Amino acid sequence: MNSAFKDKSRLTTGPHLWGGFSTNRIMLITLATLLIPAAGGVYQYGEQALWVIVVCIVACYAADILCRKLRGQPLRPDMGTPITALLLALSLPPGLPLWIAALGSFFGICIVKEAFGGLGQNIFNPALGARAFLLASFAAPMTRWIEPGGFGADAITTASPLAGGTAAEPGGLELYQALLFGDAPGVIASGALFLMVGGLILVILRIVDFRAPVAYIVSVALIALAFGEDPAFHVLAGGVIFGAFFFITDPVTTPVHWPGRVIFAVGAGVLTMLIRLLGAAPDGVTYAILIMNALTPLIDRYIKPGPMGAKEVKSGPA
Amino acid sequence: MKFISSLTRKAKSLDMPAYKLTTGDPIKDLPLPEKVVLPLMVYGAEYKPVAKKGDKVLTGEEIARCENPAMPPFYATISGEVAGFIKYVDPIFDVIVNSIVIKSDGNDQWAENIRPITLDASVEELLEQVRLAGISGLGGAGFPLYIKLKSACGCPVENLIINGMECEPYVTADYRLMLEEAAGIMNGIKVLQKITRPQNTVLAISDEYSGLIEPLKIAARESGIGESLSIKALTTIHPSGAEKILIKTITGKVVGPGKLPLDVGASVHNTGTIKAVSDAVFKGRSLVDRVITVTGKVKKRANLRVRIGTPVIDAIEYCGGLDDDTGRVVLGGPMTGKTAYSLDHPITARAICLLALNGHKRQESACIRCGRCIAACPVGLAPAELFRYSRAGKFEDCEKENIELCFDCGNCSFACPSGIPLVQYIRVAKREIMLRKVTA
Repeated sequence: MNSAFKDKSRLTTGPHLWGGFSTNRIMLITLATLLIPAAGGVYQYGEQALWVIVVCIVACYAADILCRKLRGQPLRPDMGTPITALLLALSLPPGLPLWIAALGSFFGICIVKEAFGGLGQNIFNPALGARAFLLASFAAPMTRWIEPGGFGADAITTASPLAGGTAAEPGGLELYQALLFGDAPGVIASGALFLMVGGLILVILRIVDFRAPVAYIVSVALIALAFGEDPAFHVLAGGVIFGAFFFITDPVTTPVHWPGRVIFAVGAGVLTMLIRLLGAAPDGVTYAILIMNALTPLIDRYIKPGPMGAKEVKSGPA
Repeated sequence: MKFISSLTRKAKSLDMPAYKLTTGDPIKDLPLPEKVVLPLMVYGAEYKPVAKKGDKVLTGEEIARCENPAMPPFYATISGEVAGFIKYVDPIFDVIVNSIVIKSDGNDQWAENIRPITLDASVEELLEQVRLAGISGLGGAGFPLYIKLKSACGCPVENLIINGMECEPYVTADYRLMLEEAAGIMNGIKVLQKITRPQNTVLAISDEYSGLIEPLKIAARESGIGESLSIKALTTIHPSGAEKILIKTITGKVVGPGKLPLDVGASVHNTGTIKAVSDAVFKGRSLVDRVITVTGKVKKRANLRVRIGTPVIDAIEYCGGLDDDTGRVVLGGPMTGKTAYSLDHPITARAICLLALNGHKRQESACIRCGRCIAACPVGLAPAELFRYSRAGKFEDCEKENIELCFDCGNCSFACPSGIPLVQYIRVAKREIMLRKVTA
């Protein structure tokens, strides 16, 4: 028995156990939670939304495989690609020309993610980077909203609630209801309720740190209050809930230490509201988070909790 | 529902199953081995053999000596004949150690070189008894107890802490010892109280072992320790039983790197060591055996009292052999133990456990900066950052990030969802830093 054991024994150094909560599993759960707002979007906008989602997924995979070929890497796909695809698709307006969605997908994967080194190395969130690129390049189609009407409905162009394009009275229950269920014109994932359900699952399963989304939502609400605006409207409208649960919690592009994550979230909240209230663009979530993405290395450098006993090292005789 | 609960359980920052599979197995004596292999080294100090090949030795007879007179004497752990010397690679100090092999005569005849004494003896006599008994710490580090206690004598000891946390998964040896030998442990505590004169004595046990509180309290009352001992059941998240972490939990004081527990007035001892002290003082028995847990992929898991130096294979065969899919056997706990490269490895005084595991490799993928290693680090380091510096060979940056605070608990590697061997990279950096300091 001894010799048989020797033949197949492996020498490992401790720890010999592994928690087994793998990165793939984390991404799989994130992907599953994203399906909730995706389903909500398809329900509201019908085939217009469905096509955007399908094109983004196909284009992201194509872009990923292209990049891996170019970089001479194994073609094994990681779950980051469909997540980027869904995040991008859900933050695009339904009825967007499909070639624009495909172009955005290629930009997000090839430029924002792979050019920086691939999974774990990108500075900016690929989906948000792609959205910013599309917003800058195709301003008109990217802000052309349609009325939700389910499958087979004619696309009726309208303005988004943030630009005042809603029949409901400001502050009225009807408006909140419309925003919660995505019954107001907006991006595909505009139903705040669906996003919140997905986000809560992530929080409960501890995929994401609850502190960051809470800090973001609270700071948005507080600034709205300070400016005399309706905080509930500002939280539910636009991409605040989407950003809070799915972009501010992206581990790769946000600080690693939790105090840094809270600072990141508050900074994003302040920028979102400054852009909304003082800037020219109706919604500022995209740019706010991207700007904070750029600040992440800086936050990581200066905001880290001192390890236990570190003070003793520094103050003690060398 | 079960699926969801398993998902939530696994998603915690550090969810380590306890795997305490052998809490119900009473400690059994492993039959005397045919031979023992004793590496002639205690806590990094080499010993010169005084017994020659062919010599007849008795159990508890001195067979090797160290130049440092404070080091404990080195005893044969069975009676028989010195069969020769072999080289053994010490997995912890990473050096080749000369080892003595003793063939058993099957009689287990004891040398009568120490006599039982009582608590009326002076502190010096008690200390000498501890030294004579050849006791080194049985918690895993193996520090000679005499030296630890001698230095504690000169310092004011505020807290005498008896460590029964056993925070490594799988290991139940200390649990069984506390359950079965509570009276002996109380007697050992009395000896240590007399030597160190602490203000408080704390027996720390894991909250998973709450069933121990009553029996321990009864034993404390019967032994007359009573009020002077407080028994605390503490939350167990590995490595809550590590010396410095335990001191922080109990006293709130931080033992800095390079500092000793005594610097904050604490003296920490493993329960197995305490039992050995009790045996040495009251029974005149030197340390020749220890209790280990044999668990994992063995047919019959057990808690065994084994002679130090017994080959691993003996314990495993006694437990019915290994399962077919065993890929490695770990000497020590699953988090900090080392794998045996052969089943002829001796069970040393430091081995708390023999754990047979499968040989699965884990998939390594890119770091996604999720921060789970930071949440899992007991001293609040950023293992992912240290890993990046270590891999890039930037060891000065590792030092800037307080790498010396790491004590190899392995939580970061356990928690990493990308399967990155974080603590292994950190170890490389620590070793490199140490070597550079030595050669500078």
